[in-house]
Amino acid sequence: MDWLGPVIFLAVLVLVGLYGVVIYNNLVSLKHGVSKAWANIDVLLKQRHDELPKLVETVKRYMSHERETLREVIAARNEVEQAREHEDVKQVGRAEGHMRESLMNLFAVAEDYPELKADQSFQQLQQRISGLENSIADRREYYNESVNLNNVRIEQFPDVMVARMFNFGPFDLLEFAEAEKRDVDMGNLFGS
Amino acid sequence: MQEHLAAVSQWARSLDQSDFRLITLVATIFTLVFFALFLQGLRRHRIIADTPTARLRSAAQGYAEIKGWAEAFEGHPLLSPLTHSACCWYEYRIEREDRDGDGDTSWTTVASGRSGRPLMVHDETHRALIEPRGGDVVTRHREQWYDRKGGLNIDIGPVELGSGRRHRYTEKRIHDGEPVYALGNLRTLDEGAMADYFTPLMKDEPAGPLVEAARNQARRSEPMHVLEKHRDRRRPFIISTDGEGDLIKRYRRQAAIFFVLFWFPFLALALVLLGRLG
Repeated sequence: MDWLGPVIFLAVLVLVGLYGVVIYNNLVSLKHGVSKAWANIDVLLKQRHDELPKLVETVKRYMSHERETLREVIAARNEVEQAREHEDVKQVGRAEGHMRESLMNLFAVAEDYPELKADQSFQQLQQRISGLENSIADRREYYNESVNLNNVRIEQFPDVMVARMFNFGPFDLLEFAEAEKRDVDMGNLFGS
Repeated sequence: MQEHLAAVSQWARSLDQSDFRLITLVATIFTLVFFALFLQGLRRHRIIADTPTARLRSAAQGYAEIKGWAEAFEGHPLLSPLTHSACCWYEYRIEREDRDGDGDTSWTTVASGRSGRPLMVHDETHRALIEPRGGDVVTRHREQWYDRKGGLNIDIGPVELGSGRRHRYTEKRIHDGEPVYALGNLRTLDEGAMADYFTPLMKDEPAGPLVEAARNQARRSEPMHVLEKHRDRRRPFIISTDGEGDLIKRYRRQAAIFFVLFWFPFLALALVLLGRLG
């Protein structure tokens, strides 16, 4: 019966191997989870990117003397788009901050134009962009939770061994500057 | 120790062919089943721990985890068939006790079912429907009792219980306002897809709250999220009134228990096989 020891050893070895496979598969799932969470933000950024020119065009009809404010919105839009295309999460965070700031400025200035406030298409765009901003904020939370789960997992034992062996790395959090984290509350801006 | 192992080896060699096959078969089945349950517990524990929670308002499409509170479907609670309790979802089973010639007892299911209506949940941001078909439902409200008469006021249609036999009744329920944790495939229905979704459900309940729900939903003209079983069978579909932490503990415990249990049939198999061949 000298074989019992090797049999147990072999069984333990097989179990350890299988556990390694489970860890590897989980790390792959976490990585894809982060990509999926980013794709979910990306689609909203694209939608907002498409909506903003309509907003600018509508606003331009009433605010012809506020070229600088509108230029800021367009610049911020382009900045977000560039960062998004390069999948540079940190830069998206910074650009998103500028975007929100410029939108707040735009709507603060729009306060002085009652005809613009009454415009139907402006109201619809305001509602649409407000909804997109809320969804981006929700999905940012979801993305950051996915990133945290991944980043914590790849540093925990025994996952860290598999993570290092197969080069599973951390992801950047999507952070907006503190002053720029506020939701763009267009309802309040217009006192409606 | 060596003597015991030698005795086992001797015993394995002395087994006749049919006993040897039977023991090998039973030990193999138990080894595989315990190992599969160990892996299932391990996988589920990791999936639950590793899936972030989505808010319903902006819920990402695909495999998702949501947390919210159960609510009666369009304000119409269900009545559970065995205890007649107002609830949002139920599952019941009635089993009959059978005895064989040796006096051994076994339980045969004579009736079982689940509520056909989807479960409605809401979080701080939005509402969603959970279609529980094919899901593992873990409920806090679970009642089980025994009865010999078989003459309860049960609302499940014609079922022959057979008087004089002992019956076991089990009912699981989710009540209005209970916290719900769910993990599954989330998709958002637009107006056309919503009609396709509600039409087959309405066959069972042509003039009930489902019709009202479909009308109300159309009036709201907002998208409706539905959480259901994922196509990929490896991804569990779990609906629970226990929290995420409790579920993680539950599946971790499952993994630990079956990891220990796995070794018994595995070693028995190894002893018999190698004793016989060695």
